[in-house]
Amino acid sequence: MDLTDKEYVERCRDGHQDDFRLLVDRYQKPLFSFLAGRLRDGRQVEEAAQESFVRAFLSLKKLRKPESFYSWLLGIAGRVAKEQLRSLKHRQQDCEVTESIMANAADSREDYPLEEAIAALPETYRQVILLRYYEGLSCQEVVTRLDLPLGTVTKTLSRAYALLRQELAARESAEPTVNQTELP
Amino acid sequence: MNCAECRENLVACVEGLLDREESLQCQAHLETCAACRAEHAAITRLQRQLVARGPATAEVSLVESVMRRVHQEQFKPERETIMSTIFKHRWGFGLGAVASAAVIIIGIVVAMSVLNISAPKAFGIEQVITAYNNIRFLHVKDFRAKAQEPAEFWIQSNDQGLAEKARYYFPETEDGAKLITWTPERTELWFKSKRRFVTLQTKRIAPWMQSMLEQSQPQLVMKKLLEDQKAGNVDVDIQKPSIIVATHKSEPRKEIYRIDPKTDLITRIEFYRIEDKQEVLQSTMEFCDYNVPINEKMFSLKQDLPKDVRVADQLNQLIGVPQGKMTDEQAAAETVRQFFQALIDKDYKKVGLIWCGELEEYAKEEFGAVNVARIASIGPPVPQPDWDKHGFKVPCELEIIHLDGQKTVWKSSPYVRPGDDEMHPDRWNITGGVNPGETKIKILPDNAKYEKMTPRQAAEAFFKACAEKKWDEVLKFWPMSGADEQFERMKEYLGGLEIVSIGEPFKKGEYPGWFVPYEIRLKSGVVKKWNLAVRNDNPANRYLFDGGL
Repeated sequence: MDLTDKEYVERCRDGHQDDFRLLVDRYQKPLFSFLAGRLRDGRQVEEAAQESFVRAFLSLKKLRKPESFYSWLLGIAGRVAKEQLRSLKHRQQDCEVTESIMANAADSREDYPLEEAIAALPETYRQVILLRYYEGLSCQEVVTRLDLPLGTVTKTLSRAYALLRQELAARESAEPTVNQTELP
Repeated sequence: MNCAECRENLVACVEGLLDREESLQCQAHLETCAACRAEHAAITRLQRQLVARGPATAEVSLVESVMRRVHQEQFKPERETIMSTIFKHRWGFGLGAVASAAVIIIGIVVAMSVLNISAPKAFGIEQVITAYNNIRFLHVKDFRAKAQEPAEFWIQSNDQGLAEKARYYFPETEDGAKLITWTPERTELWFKSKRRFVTLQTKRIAPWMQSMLEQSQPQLVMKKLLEDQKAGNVDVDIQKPSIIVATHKSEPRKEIYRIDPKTDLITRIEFYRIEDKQEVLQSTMEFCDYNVPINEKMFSLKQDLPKDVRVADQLNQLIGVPQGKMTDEQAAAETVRQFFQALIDKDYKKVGLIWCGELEEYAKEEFGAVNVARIASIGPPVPQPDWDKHGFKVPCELEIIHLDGQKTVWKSSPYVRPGDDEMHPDRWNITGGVNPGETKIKILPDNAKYEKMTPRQAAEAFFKACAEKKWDEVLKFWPMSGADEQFERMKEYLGGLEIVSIGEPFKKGEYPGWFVPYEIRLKSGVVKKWNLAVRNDNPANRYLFDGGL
């Protein structure tokens, strides 16, 4: 049942819309983590994550590179988070809580590029990282799940770490922005 | 270890996957090499960041809430009324059936007013309908009150809501444990206790799986209940937002539907029988794992089969005996005649074809030791109206010659049925009731001692012999060859058991023997509680094991 992002996106577009749940299942945790880095408030994060997935679903037909689904999803999530913060600011301009949320959000920027860096990984590497860290599987469990030799899994992890570090280093000097190559 | 080897092993080292020696070598190199140490530190730092993601997101579960919103968004324009949603619904009651739509609308409105269900009390039928809009995968457990294990069903439907794949498991049937997978093109049945595997094609399973899917859906359940309420057949009581109680008026039955208020999904249906004003739980159906994708491998049994399973193929060969112009009774009797004649002729290919399409090698293995000398009598066929597909039991008597020349009469009662639906509808097969083990029954030198035993004494003596591993004695109650693989399995399974209790024998249905309740503790520690079937309608007139282990 484990298809690639591209295959799931294509199935959804072909009318198998319920397959979208498999994409949600695959990316809900990293997306949550990404949004938690921007919003911090648990309820807000959950709302934003839901909203991001729903918008992604409704715009699936516009996605030009189905293999970049996750990166595209983060782009949507980044905009949803901004909207939420803006709306909070407008509604509760004089509320200390909002200021504190905004302050926290600003402070948290050093962490969330990790999810963006993960989004930039080729799917093979991303899959192993997601299973190992977001699904909490051990290397041995990843071996069983993917039916790969242990050596291949450790090599994939090793390469994924190298790519992540490279990506994070590249982002360190740049402004933290989400991938906006494809707008929904 | 040099730098290249160390770098190659760094991830395995950080993950704790190296053996002790390799780990020590790696550590030793790190102590002496600043570049590798820096690399190790960088990986560890990144890993720490990643590891923190796990606990922070462990509780995240957005799938159902997202999918519900997705469906709401999809159906937004038509979501103004319950009925528009119902007609859009993939389980629909007939798209475009405008006239019936009106009837149903009126029906529900009337029924709701009869029931005095105000909108809030109806716990948001709209949400419930939306929640059910797109069930693709379903896992159901069916707990029967007296069964030790639940029956289980896994069903996958297509985008139109039609069941397209299923797997089900019945742990306790008259054939023993049964595992079945189904697609419209291919059905696989594995009779685990009988070690038989059959492939065929049938349409009979589809409506059954469909009804299982539909039972899991509150809007269809509600519709049916409200219709029954309107017809005066049932009282419906919505006790809480999450509980519906349906009490039948003309039958002593009651059902309780439990709904998860968070997801609007039916989680459980309890079926009660009312006896002397007491509610007696008959069975409970649990609907679990909604829309959890089912692995494709679940829909085929091939990879699960042990090597010693006998295979019958009804997909790729023409099986059975053609009915031609014969009546059903004549066809049943003729099928039995041809079967036993094939046994006399040692034509095992034909034996296999009549025996549900069993492959020749397995038919020979199963019946090769049976020496039928003559068919003494056949029939008349006895119709079996209780079977889900019509058929007959055909009592017959056969003369058997044992290796030592002893002749006995084998009374057998094969089950005969026409082939399955679309595959072989006009061809008759023997589907059971022929136990070659019965032909091994001989009259013992001390047969009189065993003839005098009651069913309970026979069951007790059988288990005692198993407990003491007196296998010659066991074979007197369970005739089979001491060289059989089955015998070896039986020795392994029952040897050294401990008898916990033997109950009062009872009769059930038309079964000619007795059921003896027992409780035994196997040497594995597993306690087994069930009924041993014993019967003495055999040439030796002593009670012999006939099932129930």
